[in-house]
Amino acid sequence: MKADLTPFLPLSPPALYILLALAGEDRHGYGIMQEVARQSGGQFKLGPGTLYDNLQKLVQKKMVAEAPHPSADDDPRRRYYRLTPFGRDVLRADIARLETVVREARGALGRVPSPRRA
Amino acid sequence: MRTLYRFLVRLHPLDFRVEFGGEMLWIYDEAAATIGVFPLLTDALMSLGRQWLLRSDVWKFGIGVIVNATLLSVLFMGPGFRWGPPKKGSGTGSVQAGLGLAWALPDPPPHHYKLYLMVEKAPAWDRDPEK
Repeated sequence: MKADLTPFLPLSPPALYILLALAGEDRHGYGIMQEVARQSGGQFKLGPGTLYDNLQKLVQKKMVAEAPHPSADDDPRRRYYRLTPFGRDVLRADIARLETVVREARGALGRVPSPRRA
Repeated sequence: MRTLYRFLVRLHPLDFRVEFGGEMLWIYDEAAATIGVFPLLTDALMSLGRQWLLRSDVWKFGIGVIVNATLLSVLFMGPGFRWGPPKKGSGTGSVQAGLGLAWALPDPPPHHYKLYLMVEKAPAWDRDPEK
């Protein structure tokens, strides 16, 4: 039986981007910031305060978990995070929700005549 | 500027600071040159407000104080209570007593309400790397 993910949706933009950044591989905080900037084409920038505020919530909700360091000689100040299976399900559900929004928006905007030039 | 950023990190609630303070400073060291110091300081200030006001439940404590102060002030002043400037010798002392009691009545704040600014020993992440 599938869990009801409705209480976790919709994800806030920072949470969505963080989960998306972790979908491909485990990353440390700065890596998440860089990946978010890359994925959004530089339009969405996360600062460390916003990042860890959201990571704290995502860890509490068990969507993200701490991951082991990939190598022993890594900077000990870095901590790595990974998407949990539950986090992946929530991300999938939110992406499906966004697809519906985009589909509806395309349909609605297609029906609306373009503004005329003055 | 790093000292200022470190100071802002230290002002965060203890739980958050212990969990993420080291990483925030590490990111500052890595990203200050590319992102810029000003956006990082602004982000830390916003994070500070968010952590204390929204995440730490300190607002519940504040509301508890205000509600208790109001209730106790009304209780102490009795039937002579009226809004407006207090009559001589009637309300002022009661309001003060109410505020004092109200401050004492809410549950003692948990440890993360304390700032631990100067008294605690700086953790490992909170030392200048050059020292």
